[in-house]
Amino acid sequence: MVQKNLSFLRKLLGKLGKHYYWSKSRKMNLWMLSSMAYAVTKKYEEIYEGDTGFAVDTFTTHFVNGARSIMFEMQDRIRLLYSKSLKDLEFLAQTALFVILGPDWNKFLSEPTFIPAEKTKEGIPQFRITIPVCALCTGLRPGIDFNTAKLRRHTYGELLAAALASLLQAVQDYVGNDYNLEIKETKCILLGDSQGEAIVYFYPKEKK
Amino acid sequence: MFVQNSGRIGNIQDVYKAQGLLMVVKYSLPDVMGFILSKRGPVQGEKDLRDIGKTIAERILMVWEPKSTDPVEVLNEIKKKFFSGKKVRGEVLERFGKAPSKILIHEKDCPVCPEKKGEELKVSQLHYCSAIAGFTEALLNHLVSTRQTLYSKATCKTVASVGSGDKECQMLIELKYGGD
Repeated sequence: MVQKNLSFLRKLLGKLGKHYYWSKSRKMNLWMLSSMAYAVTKKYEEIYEGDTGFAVDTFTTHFVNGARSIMFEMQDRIRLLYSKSLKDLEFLAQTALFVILGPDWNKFLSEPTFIPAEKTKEGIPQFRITIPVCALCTGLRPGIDFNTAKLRRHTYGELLAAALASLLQAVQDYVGNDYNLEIKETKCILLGDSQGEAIVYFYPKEKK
Repeated sequence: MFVQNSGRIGNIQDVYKAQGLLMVVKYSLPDVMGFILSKRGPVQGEKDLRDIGKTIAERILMVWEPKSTDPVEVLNEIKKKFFSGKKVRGEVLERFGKAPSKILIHEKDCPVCPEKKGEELKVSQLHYCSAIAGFTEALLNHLVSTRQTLYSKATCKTVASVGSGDKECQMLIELKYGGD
């Protein structure tokens, strides 16, 4: 039975669980992780004969698939934090980011914020993720390491936000909320913005 | 401004001091391997993985250098610093005088290869963790050019990989001395 809202007890369990999980899980240096992502994307760019956009989009897909596999493995534990409430996704997203980046996660991403439909211009519920320090773009030389003019659907630093959007979609499907989620990166440090920002749009599924 | 005087975005130290979940890499790699194999085939694919390792080494060297120049100690420094992993074991196969010229690295805790059976890549021609050989080779040759190492050139090759069905990961390090 899916809950309407997350109870205090479940939130408490989520808070304790994320600390326990992080303390027990195997970690790696984030600069190494960032360097791996860069090196793989550059190789994809070579494979696509200099098409940076295809390279970034392909690697984003592969990264999101990896994140989905992690979610699949952890689903029995994280289902505890599923509810039909879109507002509760803030808590779930924070927990997921803690699990991936540890207690320092909010040095890299601000607390994800849910914006109800009535407070948006488009009349579509949204989820805003801001990225003050992009672990992927840090160290890059704009225009030298990546030709940003060739980017297509995804920007380079969108990986983590895209993985998060995938988690949110999985939750919506599980709890029976009829939404198709779409992510758009609205600000990108690599493109000259002072911080990154991604917005997840909750489009109602069309009834057949 | 977020672009530093060096022309690079942000402060690398912010990222270098932070950690992430290793599982993120392990779970993304099957798709990466599958893609490289399908696009390039096993021979070029293995070269590509080595290239990826070299590029990673260039970025790591921007913020970190090993204290030791001994290849086995260098690898163990990397394991400790970047993956909080168990030490590797080095088996000296050949020597040049008293110095090791051929070392077989035994790795039972590969940070790249999958841990679970059934996730292995069933392509024996390509070693799943070849990127580590490219990475190590670039790092050791960087030490040759910047420090007084006994060896004058290092060549590394992955010869066994858990991700390709082997029991443990093994890397062969060949060291040249002087102009031999």
